[in-house]
Amino acid sequence: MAKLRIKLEKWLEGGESQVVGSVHPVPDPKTGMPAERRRGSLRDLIIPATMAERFLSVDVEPGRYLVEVMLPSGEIVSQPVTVGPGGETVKLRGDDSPHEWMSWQHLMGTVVQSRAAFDQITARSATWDTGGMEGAVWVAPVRPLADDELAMPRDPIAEALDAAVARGGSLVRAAFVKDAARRGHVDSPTLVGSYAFDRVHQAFLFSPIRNDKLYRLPPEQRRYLLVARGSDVELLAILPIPWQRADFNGPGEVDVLVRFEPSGRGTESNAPARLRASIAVRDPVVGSVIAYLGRGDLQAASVVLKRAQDMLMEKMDNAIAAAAGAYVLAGAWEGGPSDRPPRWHEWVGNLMRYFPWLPDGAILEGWLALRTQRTREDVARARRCFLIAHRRGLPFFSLGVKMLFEGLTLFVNDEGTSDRHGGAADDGLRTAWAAVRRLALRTDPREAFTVIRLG
Amino acid sequence: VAQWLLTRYHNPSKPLASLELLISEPGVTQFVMPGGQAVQVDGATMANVETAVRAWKARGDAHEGNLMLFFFCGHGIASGTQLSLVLEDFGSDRDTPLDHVVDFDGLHLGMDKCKARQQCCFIDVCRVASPTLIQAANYSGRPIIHGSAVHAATPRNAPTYFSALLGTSAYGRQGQPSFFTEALLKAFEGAGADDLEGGWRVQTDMLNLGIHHLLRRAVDETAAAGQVSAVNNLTRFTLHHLRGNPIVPVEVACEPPDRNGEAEFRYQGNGRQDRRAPPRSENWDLELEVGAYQFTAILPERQVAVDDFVRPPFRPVRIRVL
Repeated sequence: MAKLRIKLEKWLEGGESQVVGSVHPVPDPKTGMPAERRRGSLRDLIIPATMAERFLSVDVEPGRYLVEVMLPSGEIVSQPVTVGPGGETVKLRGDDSPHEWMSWQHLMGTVVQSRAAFDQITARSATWDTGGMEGAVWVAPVRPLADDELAMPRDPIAEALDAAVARGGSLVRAAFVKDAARRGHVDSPTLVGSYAFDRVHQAFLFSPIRNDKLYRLPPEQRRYLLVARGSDVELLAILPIPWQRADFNGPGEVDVLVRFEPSGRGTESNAPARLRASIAVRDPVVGSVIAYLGRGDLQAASVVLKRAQDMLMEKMDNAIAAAAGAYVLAGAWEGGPSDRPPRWHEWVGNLMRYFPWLPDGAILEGWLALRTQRTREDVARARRCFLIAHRRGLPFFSLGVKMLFEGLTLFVNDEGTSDRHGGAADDGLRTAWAAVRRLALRTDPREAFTVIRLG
Repeated sequence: VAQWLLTRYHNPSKPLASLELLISEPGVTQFVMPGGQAVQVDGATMANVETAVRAWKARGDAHEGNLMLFFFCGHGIASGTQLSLVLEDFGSDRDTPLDHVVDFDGLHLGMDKCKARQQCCFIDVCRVASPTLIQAANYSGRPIIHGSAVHAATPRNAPTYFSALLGTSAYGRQGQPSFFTEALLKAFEGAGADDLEGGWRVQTDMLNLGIHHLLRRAVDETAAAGQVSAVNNLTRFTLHHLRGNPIVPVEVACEPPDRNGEAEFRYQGNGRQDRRAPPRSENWDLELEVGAYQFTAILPERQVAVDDFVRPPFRPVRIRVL
């Protein structure tokens, strides 16, 4: 056997990541010898994406191979290689990011792939009046643990947002500020300066993590980024900060890329431009898990997660990252009520119990209760979890918004057949369902983290 | 797609058992079967779709090992995470237009009640954001099958492939399959295949990558440039067994690509060969059977050849000519 060492050579500002790859035996071009079956393909490999001399090392029979990686964007980078008895090293190279500061967003697939394509798309966008665009971070009050969460008031930011959305029309920043304050909002918005700006391509990168004041706040105080143009708020994004790296190497950076994109009829040049915000976490372990999850690729996300799931969910140092892992595990789980529950079911229960500021834990617990239901009490527990999630506020993940809406929809449907699954007639199910529907209709499903379009 | 299912689809453990077809194309009332027999086809009105979907679900209920495929090509209205499919009689009642659209997310949720645990949807519609859903109070159309909190025992594998990202258009072509449908059918012939289980089989995850690359190639240099496919709930299972070797999209280019225009490209291998004469500045798009090939770029000052291996889902060949 010989050692085949593989990496994706990718500059990632301040760190590294991991992607999914494969190694396939192929015939030798000189001898035309067919690939031997005993040299079977190696799939679902976790390959470092880094500029450092760090590789995945696999044992293979000497011979010819095709090495490939699948990036979260759907791009494939591949290279044929001949492995001799002494082994071989492969450094795969994909397209370069338009900027170094865009490198994480580029790997995650939230910006178009090549510099040339980036030029082509953004050149069609409308002129950006940079002076009219602002980002502000808002901080919500701590949500305490409570014996009866359903008796607690709803998260004030979610409540203010819902009230504004329910009224219809655009969301005027001043009115939202006033409403949020009236509902108990405790901290003033903090203006966030742009950390990087591409004047040609009209893209901002906010890096809220660099604001010390925001970073020092405890995780229980949720932070929201409001992106405004003029007096109107266009986007509200849930910020997953403070972010603790899943490899326990301290704080991880989170960046938000805000740029124009054409709207209306696809990419037509006459369409009015709209803002889009994408959040990337610069985490070597979980960054790509979240990116694959955001792309709907549970298969790839579960591959990358596999090595980290115990570390991530047992310690719970980063509950948001643990929730991302739980979404992947729940989506890829093929067990049922008759199977012995895997350990992570217990961890999801802990996410629900110990993190009252995290709606996603309650959403996941609700779905697990449905998936493993044996009795009517299990179904009633699921209903309660979804109602609690609604009260906790906006889910961190867009998949959570969808799952919460679908979970509540199931119970609203059953109510039509007079089955309340143990819920009281006035427990607010329909109100919660209508509010979450309004939220779902404004959530950008292309993004892993929740971004609400308000304009 | 219907013709492909009747003539090409091959899955020994899940053979084609039924095919339900509704068409709303103007002037089309018949479908010609592979044997030449013409059969009457109804329009995709709400009433017909409802009947067909209920019958489809009932057939799926016969066994949990059934594989369910749902394909819709037409118009969609979207907002946020929600998508509704517009049917032939949309607009027939101005007061309740959404009574003639299908709440696709509701239907997908409702299909969890179906016993069949493998379900795969292909949705070839625009997903341009529409205020219609936001303005419609708590209503996104008819889900046809309502979901229930009382769930089936086993989780299902139920990916959905979309022709476009949210907020963007999916493009059709008069008298031809849409770009997405063309990419889908080609992906079933090879780009979506893997030899994970020995023979070449179309796996759901590889199909996603195959569609992605074929669609990108199909729309390049057209008005649809920028149309990108998307997927939800992607897990891995087998959809289709290939009877032969996969046909794989291949893209040949010089590195750096600005030398393309001067290069004569050639390939040979697998008993085939071809060439492309200059001056052509774009990359050379090929579709080749899986296997080993030699690719050559002949430039005024030199000739460079590379040995490469073509396998699904997509093979970019870069010939360094510096």
